[in-house]
Amino acid sequence: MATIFPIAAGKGGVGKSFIAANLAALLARRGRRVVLIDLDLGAANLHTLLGIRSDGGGLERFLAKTTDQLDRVAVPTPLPNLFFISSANCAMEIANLYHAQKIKLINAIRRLPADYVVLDLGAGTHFNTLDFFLTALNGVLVCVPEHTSIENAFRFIKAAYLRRLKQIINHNAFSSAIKNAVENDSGAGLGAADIVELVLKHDPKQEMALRKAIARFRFHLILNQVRRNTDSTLGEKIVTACNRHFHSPFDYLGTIDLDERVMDASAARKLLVALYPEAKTTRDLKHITDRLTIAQLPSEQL
Amino acid sequence: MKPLSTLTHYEILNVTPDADAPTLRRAYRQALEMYREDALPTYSLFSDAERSEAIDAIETAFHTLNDPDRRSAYNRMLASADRQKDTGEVVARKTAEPLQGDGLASETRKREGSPLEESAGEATAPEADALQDERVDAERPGDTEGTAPTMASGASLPPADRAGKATEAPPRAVAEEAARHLADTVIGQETISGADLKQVREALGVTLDAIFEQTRIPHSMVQMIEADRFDTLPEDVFLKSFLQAYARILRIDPQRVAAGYFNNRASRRPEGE
Repeated sequence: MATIFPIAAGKGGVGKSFIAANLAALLARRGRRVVLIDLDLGAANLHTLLGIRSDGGGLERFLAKTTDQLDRVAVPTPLPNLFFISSANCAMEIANLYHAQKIKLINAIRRLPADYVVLDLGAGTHFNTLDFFLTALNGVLVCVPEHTSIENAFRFIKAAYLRRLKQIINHNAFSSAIKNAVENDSGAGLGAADIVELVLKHDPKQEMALRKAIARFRFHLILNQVRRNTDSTLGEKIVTACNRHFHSPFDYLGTIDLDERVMDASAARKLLVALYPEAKTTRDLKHITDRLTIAQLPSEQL
Repeated sequence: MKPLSTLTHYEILNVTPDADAPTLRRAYRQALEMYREDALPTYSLFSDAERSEAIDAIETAFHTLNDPDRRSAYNRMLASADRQKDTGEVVARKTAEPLQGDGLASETRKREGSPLEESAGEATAPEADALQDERVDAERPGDTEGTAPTMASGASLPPADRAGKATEAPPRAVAEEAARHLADTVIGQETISGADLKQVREALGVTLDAIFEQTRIPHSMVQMIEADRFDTLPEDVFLKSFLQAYARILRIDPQRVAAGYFNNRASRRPEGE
């Protein structure tokens, strides 16, 4: 079964797509079969970064039920072992994916016959983004050394945590009082603290099990676009803070310097690791890829 | 979110136990710098109350470790908490902290009788209720809880009770009498430590579950009290009422227990802490 790596960020412009594409390429170079999927629905960019003009219809074919086999809409890329599912040609309103479509897509992603599946997610904390993020037990979070990015990253983590709590309660044996409260919550009501209180009040013996389930998700942080004057220990400090104060484990994958060649590669519509194989950025990406494959929790279904 | 006070002072400052004064000072400055209001690594992570609690925890950590007497008292306390951990009890440390919401850590901990504390394996879901894809791992220590006394509490009890976890319980009357004798001794002490209370509780065969059933005091709160983890305990007004409720379950003098416990704490913590 494939190992899924969702790449997320609290806000846009921090380098999710860039990292997703190059990470997928580096995994493919190891001889592993990789499927890269553009799930930034309504704001797809991966086809541009990869320089792929004809995407065989991409995700739209799957969502429009032209085919019900997700792997059939994956196209080969110039890189051996790297396959790509584009959302460039999705319907104009695709950002508003229906619940049923999302479930179908998630189930299909999990069944892809690949070694790795890399998901480029949209920015922010929309339910769909969070649900895609939580398809795996390892999530990659990208941020840049700026207050705006970091505050959005923390919000993303908290939103994912709440979403995960609700999923655990929906999928497992908790008292009906709790399940009703969670299922009927329209989204404006229950916070994570409220849910935990409910569990402790109505089902205290499940609190330990809940805690263990939450701890089975591992976040992996990448600090991107680092500048000369950025504190070199910033990434580690963020991860230290996260490990101290959140309930899930965090792992620090590394930094990538701000590099104008990123833009050059994009303009050339080629992957940076292909165009500049000796660049420091390529080395940093390799290091990150190595760390990720070592530090991951084994992928399992929710 | 988990508060900083779930960590040891060493962990909060990110120093090893042998850290010297200059190392401590540097670590203290770095810790304050990291938890400062607009510091990047913790930007927007906390409410004002939580941030202020974190700063307090850093201050406490530094001032305790920076003073040789307080540091050795603290080290002794940590060592005794670790010994209790070794006998099979799970003392709530950072890996076993209560599962709290994303922002109410400091407020909810202080709520009276709040059940928002973890159950440290005492009352885990049995195998049948295990979550999908989860194995409920054997973190549970509790099979010996309340039957035979643990090794750590052996000293004051008749030799027959010291054989360790696997022994059968001695005849009920003898054990009860020995336990009462122990309780009387402890009650007579000027200072009563958490470890003393735990010995009495175990000798009397009172489980954490039983305490929770009757008083709603969560397991971890009892464990913290018994481990003398003063820095994690709630305000005195709540602590006193917990101690008295605890004493009543054990059928020992609640006033003496509260007074003895506070005296013990005062002797181990300097004034103004």
